[in-house]
Amino acid sequence: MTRIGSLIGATILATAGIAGTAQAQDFDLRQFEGTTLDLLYAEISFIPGLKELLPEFEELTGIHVNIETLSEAAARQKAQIESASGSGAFDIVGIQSGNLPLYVQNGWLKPVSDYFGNPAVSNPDQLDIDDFIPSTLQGMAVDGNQYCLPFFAATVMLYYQIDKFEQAGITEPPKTFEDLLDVAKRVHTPEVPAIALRGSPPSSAGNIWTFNLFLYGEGGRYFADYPNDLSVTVDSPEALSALETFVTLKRGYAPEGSVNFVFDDVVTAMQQGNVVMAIDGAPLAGRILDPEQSKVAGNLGFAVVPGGTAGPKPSFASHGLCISAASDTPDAAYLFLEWATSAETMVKISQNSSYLATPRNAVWENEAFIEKYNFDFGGGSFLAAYQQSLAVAPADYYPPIPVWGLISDRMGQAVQAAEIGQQTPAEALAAASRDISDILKTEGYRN
Amino acid sequence: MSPSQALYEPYWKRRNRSFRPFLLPALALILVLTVIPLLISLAISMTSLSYVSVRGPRFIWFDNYINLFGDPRFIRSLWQSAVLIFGPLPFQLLFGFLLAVVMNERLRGLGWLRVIFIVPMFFPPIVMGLMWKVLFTPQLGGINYYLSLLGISGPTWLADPTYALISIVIATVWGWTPFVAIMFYTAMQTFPSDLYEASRIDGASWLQQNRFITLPLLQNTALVVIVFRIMEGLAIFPIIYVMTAGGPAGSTETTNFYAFVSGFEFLKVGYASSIILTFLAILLIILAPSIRMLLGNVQPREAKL
Repeated sequence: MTRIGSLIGATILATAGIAGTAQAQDFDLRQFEGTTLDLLYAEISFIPGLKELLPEFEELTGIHVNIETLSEAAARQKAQIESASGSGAFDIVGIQSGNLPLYVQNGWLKPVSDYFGNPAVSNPDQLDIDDFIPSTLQGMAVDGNQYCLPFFAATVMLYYQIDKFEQAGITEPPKTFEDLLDVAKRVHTPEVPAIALRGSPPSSAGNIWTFNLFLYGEGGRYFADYPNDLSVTVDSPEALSALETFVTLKRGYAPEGSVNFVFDDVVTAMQQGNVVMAIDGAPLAGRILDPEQSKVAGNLGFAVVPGGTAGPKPSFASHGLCISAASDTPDAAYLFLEWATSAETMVKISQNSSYLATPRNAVWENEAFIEKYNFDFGGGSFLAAYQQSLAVAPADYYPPIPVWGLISDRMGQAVQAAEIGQQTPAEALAAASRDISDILKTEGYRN
Repeated sequence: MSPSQALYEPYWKRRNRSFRPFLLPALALILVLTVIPLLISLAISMTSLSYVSVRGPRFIWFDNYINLFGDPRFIRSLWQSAVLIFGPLPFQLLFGFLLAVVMNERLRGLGWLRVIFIVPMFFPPIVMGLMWKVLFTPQLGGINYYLSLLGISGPTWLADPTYALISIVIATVWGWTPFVAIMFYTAMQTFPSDLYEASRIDGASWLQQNRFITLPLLQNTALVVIVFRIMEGLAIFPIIYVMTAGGPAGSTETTNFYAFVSGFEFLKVGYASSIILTFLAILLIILAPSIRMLLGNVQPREAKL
């Protein structure tokens, strides 16, 4: 569907509301009355807003939904363990695109695409599959099967304090890593360090989320040619240059001890004005700008992250809701997923919470959404920077390999070791490259 | 035969065997809760079960165990476990002893001081870890602020491999010294007062009393404390999880933490089982002599004096 088409679709949905959906669907909404669904995911934005709307869904369908939330790492571990044990304790699990290959390889999910076009539970107008940003759908699909419906389009951008830039005579945000180092040098003071970047945990939930944008920005890769040639290339000159830039920033221009900075610390540092710049999740702007807590509201600029020889490669992950293969009520689960990821529900959640990382074009074009989130404090529009970032973010930001968890951990350890000076960047990368090759051999991906 | 002798006679020497059926419930519990899970772990540890592998699980005998000793991360975790188990021990014993001596004195106002001394025992390890994490984080003031008052520029504690280990040792010493103090204090309460009275008449000073009476009498208790602290030290997990998550760059990752990461994060279940069983075996070897000593020392007190 075209942008215009989806805009019209969204307007119809928004104005006609439930009446509109009721007309299009010809199945019994209350066919699963009395069913209880259990959902497990991390406490990221969207989920709190979704919780608030659950009574609405229960009234509509008679299905009761329990949502259990944990920290990101704990939720991932718990979902994996429950899935591996086939307990069926959760009907619906949230998954990030980087984690999907593991689930698919082990057969832990029932593809949602099994239900597409099934008139007994699916309403094509509500599903409106073409309205999703393609990269978000792609991140939740393997071999033509759509496993999950996306609800969260995660990318990162560069945040900066406009007045600090002005005082240092900087007229525009850095576009290249060279510019970034130069700007960092000019704005850095011991009291207000130049930049906050994630340093922990050593995995794709931590420093690798940020480091990969340096790696890809310089044209580096994990494998020579995934999936045909799995020769490990993390010790390439491109990777070395990326790690050197990253380490220079963290050792010279970041807050003390920021090797332990998890995403929360990055957000807090920026929110409190304790750093001049930060690179992290675009959806966190809602928190950084929270007028109750923020010291930088009204003074924040937004830009696409800088890049190297390969241009800017902002981090990207699609988060989706998926049906557990062990669920004994998958049909009811699907009914819920379609409702939860519909444009109508997303618009509501964007209004009742600080959720803005929507994967749906219809929401991006919704007037109330634009009015609420289009911050511009003289450093350019937030929504524009966000959409530009999404447009250039690589859909395969994490290589779609089931053993990615181990690889990203090993790489994360290498980045930390270089950051704290335990090893030189070259040593750290050489060791990581050897170990990642070993991991691939041990787990049978390569000879 | 006196009753106490009968009680301490090993069961295999007793003529009356009617006690046997009464052991069944306890044995059944041990079987279900300890032996069977251990055997299952042992079986799993001999497979290549891994959810991230493209190959299905196979029975591989002792390959996991052989691979372990070529895994630098495992070797390093053993060393780091040793530091975190044995590093805090001398400090806990020393401070615990000093606290116990103070608690044992009949001084005014000691009642509430005794309570304050044992406050750390009320902290769940997670809370303890969070508290020390805050104290060790430079941006949040804490320890480095007080060091700066003394003109010392503090290190970035949790961001430096060596200091991160030291930070956890400090937190552990703080958290478990009260346990040691209470063990020592309650033992001291049972010491016969005539020994102290006699020594006072002989002109022994307070220091001499502690050196020549209290310390020797505390030996058994100290042994119990050491064994307990080692066993609990093995289970050190929440503090590491909260304070450093094994970092930076794996420098505070203990063997049980590595097993956790391998099993739950990397989903290499067979390998994780072999890690934890090897760890268990090493510990049993280390602990066996002290446990035997402890059991050997369980005798009626009058037999010793």
